[in-house]
Amino acid sequence: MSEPIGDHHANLEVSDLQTYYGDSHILQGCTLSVGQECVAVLGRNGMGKTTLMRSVMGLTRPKAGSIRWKDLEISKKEPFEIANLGIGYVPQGRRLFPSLSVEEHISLTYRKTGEEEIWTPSRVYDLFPELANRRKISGTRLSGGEQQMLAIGRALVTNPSIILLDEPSEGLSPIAVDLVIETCRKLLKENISILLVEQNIHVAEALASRVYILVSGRTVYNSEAAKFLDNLELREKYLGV
Amino acid sequence: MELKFTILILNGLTQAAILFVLGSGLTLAFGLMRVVNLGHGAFYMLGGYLGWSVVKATGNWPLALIVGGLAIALLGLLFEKTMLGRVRGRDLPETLLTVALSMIISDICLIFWARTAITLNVPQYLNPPITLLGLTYPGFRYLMMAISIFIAVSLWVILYKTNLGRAVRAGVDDRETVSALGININKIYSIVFVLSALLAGLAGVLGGSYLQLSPGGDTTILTLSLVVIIVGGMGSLLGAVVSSIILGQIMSFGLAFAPQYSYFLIFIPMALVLALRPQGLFGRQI
Repeated sequence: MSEPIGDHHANLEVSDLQTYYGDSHILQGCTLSVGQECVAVLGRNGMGKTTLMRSVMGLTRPKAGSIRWKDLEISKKEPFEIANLGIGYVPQGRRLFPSLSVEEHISLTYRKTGEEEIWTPSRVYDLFPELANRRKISGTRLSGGEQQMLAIGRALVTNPSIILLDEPSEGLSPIAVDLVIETCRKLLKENISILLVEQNIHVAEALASRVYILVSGRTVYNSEAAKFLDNLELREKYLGV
Repeated sequence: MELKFTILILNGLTQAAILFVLGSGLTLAFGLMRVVNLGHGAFYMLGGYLGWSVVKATGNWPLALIVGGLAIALLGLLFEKTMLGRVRGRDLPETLLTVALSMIISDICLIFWARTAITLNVPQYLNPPITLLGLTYPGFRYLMMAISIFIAVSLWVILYKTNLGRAVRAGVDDRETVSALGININKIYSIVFVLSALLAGLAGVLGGSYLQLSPGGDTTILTLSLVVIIVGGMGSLLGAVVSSIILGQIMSFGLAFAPQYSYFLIFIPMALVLALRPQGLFGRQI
């Protein structure tokens, strides 16, 4: 899987990434690229999907390989620098701040980006009216779906050009999952790319234009989303679903 | 008798004012950075001695307060940037560094300042006798309480009304996620450590004007500040307020009724808190 990928409009290009947690070699050659689209990374539990996200964000520094963002090498940069280059992060489990209210979550990360400023707190509240009504309460006292909206809103006000979504459907009701899907569709329409990591194949089906399969930290397969998802044999082989 | 009690309570509040300025700095730095600065007592002492020298040279107490505070803030900045920041997140090196710093500072204090106990001279204009409700009490002590309240309110405003404060509180919860959202958490660490050092320096000048500064006094002060934050809850501003008031009263009444046990008495609330509510009165489980 080391051949270069054809899409020359890619914004995010990860190639042959090697990441360790202590001595354990988690990512063993992960290659993918994301253009103006939603790309889903699928795989069973423990295959390195979250590590991939953490490596891109600089939270777990990769040992080797490269991560290029708009032709800039970012694999050695600090997480805050990476975020400030326009990469939004919605971590697994949402990781809201128990000490902060809804409103404080949004104002903490809001950055004015000059003329390109698009996502203001008030636009986020327009997108998620249920958050607007609950501005003063602690972020962690929201329902699961609302918490996910807040985690997305918190990333949106940094005005990213791509959002990394790590298991956004985890622990949510089917209705809340649909809301997440609907929100992501709106973001794609606003030209925000999405790199999605999911267990829930239904979410990937609804959003992704391309899928990558991660097995033991290696991208072993990639194709157009439909081509993979319609192929029951491949689904069974890589995901067991 | 009633008068005596009122005076003891006021003494306790004066003591609480110093304890709060001392403890709030330590609790802020600990809450965010998870590093207990064992040099906090030495920061206090050096701030107090610098203030003493300024008062001796100029007779200007407000200037002494500013110099003591800012000098220690600067020292904190240098220490954080050149040393502490390099070993971030590694508990043992962090702690050892702060111990080493405190030893170096106390030895420097021994070289430059008196080997006997000294107290800052407070000019008369700052210390008019003030009569409130039929009770005359030194005005300087009211001034110390006022300064302490001013500091408490300022800290509250910083923590709860500014984006810096939001970043600090979010960093206490989850520093990794804060940095992944585009906030330079190392910069926040530096600011908080400098603020903590500033408070230690201010506390030194305040405390040195009420109590005594003496060689080796830094360890006593460090112990006191640790008791304040353990009782109040590490990282909690409200906890620091409440525990300073409790401990201030215990010290004041202890000194009056059982002077030989007064130092020992402050450990009773600490023991109770550790036994019944280990996270402190207003602390969170870590």
